[in-house]
Amino acid sequence: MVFKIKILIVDDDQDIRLLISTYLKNAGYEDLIFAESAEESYEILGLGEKEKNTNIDLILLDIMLKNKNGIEVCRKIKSNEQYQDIPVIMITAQTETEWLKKAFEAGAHDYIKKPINKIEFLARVESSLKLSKEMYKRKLKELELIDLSKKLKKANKKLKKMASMDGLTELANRRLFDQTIKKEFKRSGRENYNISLIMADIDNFKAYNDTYGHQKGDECIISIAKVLEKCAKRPADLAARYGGEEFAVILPKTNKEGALKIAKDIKSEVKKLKIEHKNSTTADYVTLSLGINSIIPDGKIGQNKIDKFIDNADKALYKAKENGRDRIEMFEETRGDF
Amino acid sequence: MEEIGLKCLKKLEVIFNMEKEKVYIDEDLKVIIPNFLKNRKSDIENMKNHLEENDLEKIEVIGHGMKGSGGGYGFDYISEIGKKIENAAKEEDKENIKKSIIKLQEYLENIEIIYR
Repeated sequence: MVFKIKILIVDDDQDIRLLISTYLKNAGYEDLIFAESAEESYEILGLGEKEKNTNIDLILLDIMLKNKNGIEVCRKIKSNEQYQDIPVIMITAQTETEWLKKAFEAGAHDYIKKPINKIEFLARVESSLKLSKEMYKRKLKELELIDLSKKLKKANKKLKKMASMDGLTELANRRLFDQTIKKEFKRSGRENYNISLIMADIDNFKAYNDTYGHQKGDECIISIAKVLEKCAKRPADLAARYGGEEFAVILPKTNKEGALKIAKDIKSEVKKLKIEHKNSTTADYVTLSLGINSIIPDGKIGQNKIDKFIDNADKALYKAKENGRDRIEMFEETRGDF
Repeated sequence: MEEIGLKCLKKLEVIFNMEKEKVYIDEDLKVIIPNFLKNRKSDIENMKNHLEENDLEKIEVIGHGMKGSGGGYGFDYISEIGKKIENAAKEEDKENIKKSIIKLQEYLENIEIIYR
């Protein structure tokens, strides 16, 4: 036998318990548990105060227990999830249709008539156990499948994240940025609210790399990325690495003032980091230049409109660079100088 | 007179032949049969006591038990008599209970068990 079979026998008659035990043991079933009453069976099955796993494969249940109706007991056993697939065989002298009907309704799988006949008894036990075994196998397979699908989901999630994440900074990468700006820009147009975009660039970054080396350069980029992540904190905000030392922050449902506030936060948080930059023409520490564009998209929205929106934020950024770096500029449509 | 004489002769025949009633029982049950028979003997003692105490409910339970287990062990007659005792107790028929107890006693004294 592949797995050890455990059988619970519930009967208030000592002679019947002994008879069943003898037949089962001679047939090779060693792991038998006995209960004399409904209460005792509940305790063994963990249906009383203490719940437990019992690993019982089959239950033989007398239909007439001293003070309890065996059908009630069967119903109670079957109402516990653990025993839903565990076969219950009723032992009965009552073979009237009404009794059997009730027993089957209560979840019994089969019945054995008294007086117990060895051959019939063992045949019924075996066929019920076969069922129990199949159920067990099926359950194992189900569990395996559930486990596999969990692993697959996890792997997919990881893969998806990897495909959209910048390896160095763990911010959104350019790919995710492109997808998100498209989605959010269209949504803003549909729902008629402001969308803002901050473009940011590390000032004098080439000089930083030349002075401190590329490794330090990478560390600097990671530090700035952490600030962006921290400042773009609402669920719909998205901080992304746009290019080498250039970053972007998408701010849906955010107007100019809101975007400016976040840009200011970013700028001052970067300053607080006090990353030394002795060859900067701007300051002694690493600084950022930031450009903002904020609009309510209208009319027909196509990729060219989205590109223009990004491009204008970029223009604002270069305006900040032109105006001496370490500052924020807002793109203004009405001003002709952009 | 002749009839009575015949009856006596038959009884004597039974006594002298010691012809016992053969009961065929599954080999598997060999080890538990003595215990089963011991339990029936104590059933008899208990029923006699309950009868004196007029506790027929307990007799009904004992009868019910014998009815359920007797045949399973191979003693169909015990099931049969258990059923009779159960019913008699239900009907508060003490005479029939007494009769059945005696019959059971005689039966137990007069069986030969053959395991096969």
